[in-house]
Amino acid sequence: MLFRIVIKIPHSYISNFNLKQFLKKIVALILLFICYNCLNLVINFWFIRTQKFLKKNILVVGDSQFMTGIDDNLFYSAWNISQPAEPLPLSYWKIKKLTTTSSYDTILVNISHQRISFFNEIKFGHKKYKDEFNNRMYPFINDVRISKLNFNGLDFVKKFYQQMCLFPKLNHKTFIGEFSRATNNSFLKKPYDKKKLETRINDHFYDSRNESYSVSNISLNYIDSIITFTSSKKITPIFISLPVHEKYISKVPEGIKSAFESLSSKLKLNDIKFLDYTTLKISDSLFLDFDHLNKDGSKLISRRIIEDLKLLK
Amino acid sequence: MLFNSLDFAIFLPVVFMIYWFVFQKSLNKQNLFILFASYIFYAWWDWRFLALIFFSSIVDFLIGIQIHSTKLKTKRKILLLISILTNIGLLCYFKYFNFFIESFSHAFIFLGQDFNISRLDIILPVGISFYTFQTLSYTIDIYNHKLSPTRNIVQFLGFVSFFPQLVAGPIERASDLLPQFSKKRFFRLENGVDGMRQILFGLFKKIVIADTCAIYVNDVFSNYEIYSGMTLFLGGVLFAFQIYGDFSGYSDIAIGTSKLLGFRLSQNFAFPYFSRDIAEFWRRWHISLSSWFRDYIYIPLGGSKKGLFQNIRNIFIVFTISGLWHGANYTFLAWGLLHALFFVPLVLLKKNRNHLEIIAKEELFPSLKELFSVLLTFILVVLGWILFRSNDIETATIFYKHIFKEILSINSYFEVIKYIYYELGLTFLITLIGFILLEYFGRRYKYGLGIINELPNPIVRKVIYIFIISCVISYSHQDSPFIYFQF
Repeated sequence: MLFRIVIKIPHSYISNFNLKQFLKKIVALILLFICYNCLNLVINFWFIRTQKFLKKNILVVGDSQFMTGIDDNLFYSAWNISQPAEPLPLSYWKIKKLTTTSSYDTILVNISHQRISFFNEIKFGHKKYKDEFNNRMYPFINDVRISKLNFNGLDFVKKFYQQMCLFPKLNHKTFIGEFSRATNNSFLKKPYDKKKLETRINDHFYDSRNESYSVSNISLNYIDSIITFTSSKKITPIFISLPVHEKYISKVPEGIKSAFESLSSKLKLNDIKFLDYTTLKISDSLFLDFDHLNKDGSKLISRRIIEDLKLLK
Repeated sequence: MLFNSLDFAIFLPVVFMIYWFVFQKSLNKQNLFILFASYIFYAWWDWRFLALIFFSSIVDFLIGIQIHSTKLKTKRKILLLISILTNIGLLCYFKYFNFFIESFSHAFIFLGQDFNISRLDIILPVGISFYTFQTLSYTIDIYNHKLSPTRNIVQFLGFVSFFPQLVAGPIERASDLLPQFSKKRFFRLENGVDGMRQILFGLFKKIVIADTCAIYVNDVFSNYEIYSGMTLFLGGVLFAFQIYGDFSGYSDIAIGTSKLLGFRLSQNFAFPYFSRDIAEFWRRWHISLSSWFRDYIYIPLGGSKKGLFQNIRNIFIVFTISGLWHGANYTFLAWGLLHALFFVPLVLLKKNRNHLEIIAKEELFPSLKELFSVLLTFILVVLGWILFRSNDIETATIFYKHIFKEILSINSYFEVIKYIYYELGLTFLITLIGFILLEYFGRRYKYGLGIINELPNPIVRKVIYIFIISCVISYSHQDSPFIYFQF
């Protein structure tokens, strides 16, 4: 009865019987579709709330540097969930999300020159990244505070709708990455490819007008948030900067370099553990490219980190 | 405005409402509104080219009347020539100018002469190849006394710019579409429902099938150096589905939209990949263009009536023009010629009209012989698509070399299986197989999803619609233009 009332179209508006019937059919289909969407939304929220994560002692969170650089298999109990191009706000939300359902005693967070560049702020609205980021972010919609980021709300809603309303999905762990063993050795064949280096540096530190990006205050603020949040949960945050090639370091803008140094001093001053391997001299054969380690590099640095963590304890 | 965009999702219901609720009582107002909506639709892409379509329409409108009113043969011929030169001239300028310039330049350089003319920065107006052929058919039909010209300018402008089929067909004949502008149109429930269903299926073909195939096709065609021969062939197969989903999807949306407005457009695709030979393929692929070439080029050239040699010559002419129609590139030209080569043996053996009915018309499944013929035809078509998709002849040659070299290599087949498993994914593979089955079992209808009418339960039908809508929305990432827009 209620259904009939909802889709009843006043006769005076439409004289054509066929048209009236057609509109009724369309409205009925739309209503059915909306009901189906709502049902999926409820099911998917339930799946999100009840999903289980790996229980380990150490959580490894960062971008592609950590993804290729830290081999969690070498640790006694660690889980690398790093994903490419991940900005610090996203790392913070991931930590928050995972620590509510599982307990970790240590969190390793990747910081680098690149991660404090302003480029990270525009990534959320960037054509290349926005789809991927929205896909990673939708499962923690409750936690996301996005007002200050260059963020297109409509795109986010579209992605949220696509992932939540159309089908019941068992896997909503789109924000979980993993260690990726990089076997490519092309860097060794041509280690000083100027063009590749320039592209990399331009991507990370320069805008389309070739002006260098400033420091991302939002990223710095999120480092503070990570410290505050993990401390409140009695988790030890340890910040790590992985080795990058000296050619890469030499091209990083001075502003970013000095901001990174200030960050380093600030962390030390506040007694926050920071393992800085940025300028660690390692062989070219351990690099995947100018700012990523390959599988041999990851083995070396992971072992080094394990040793240093023992010393820190 | 793209059919698969949010703009069109708003535009169509607004046009539908105004068309049926505000202007239902007056045919003239409905026609005027269609014209207005069509110009808005076209201007959404680039308003400056409205002048071009308007000019082309006006020229043919006036010439049509003049041809009809004059009895002098020479004058009629001159008028027809003006119409052809104007339309083909515009098409050549916008589409082929740079191609001809470059070809001349290469030819002169080859002969040791210096020929230096710089390219012009010309934008190709969307749909120019389609509406040019549509207006040309109008004047040619009047010249041949097959059609009387309309004196209603609004109807004629509406016919040329009718928005559902303006930018990528079907290329409608004036004798079919124009009279529909002068008859009172009524909304029929079954047409409306069928139209919506066809639009939905068109969107499914475009967004789920074509756009997803495009990801892997682009990958294979841009990194062809690293893939095995059979993976390259798989790239060709996926392109076959991409272009079919893209173009027939557009036609379905166009036909469905027209049904909503009370118009009937001709079927443009009739399950071409179930063809048993190349001749049947061309009777089922882009039917409106193939029949245009048949009626306005092949038959006027003498068709098959002037002996075998003339017939073969005419076939080559038609396929060459058909290739060039698709784009100003040697790959399209070679694609046309390749199809002519596939076609000629059938003509020589007098087997080009063997399969006029759809495969297994009275049966559920085809015979083994038919299945073999379908597969063989599909392979030939895919070999043609590789040329069509390649950026240049050299790339296509590399594809062919690898494919034929590795045809017996087991390793190459393993590579394909790996590519399907790791890149394509099982979900999409199942979707693709499901789509092929739907097309096969729906082959007796005008479009695959038409088979849904055989389901007696309306709830089951609605569930299927909701499933398809969900697929379409979940696969849609960003507005991606239809391939045939560039033609």
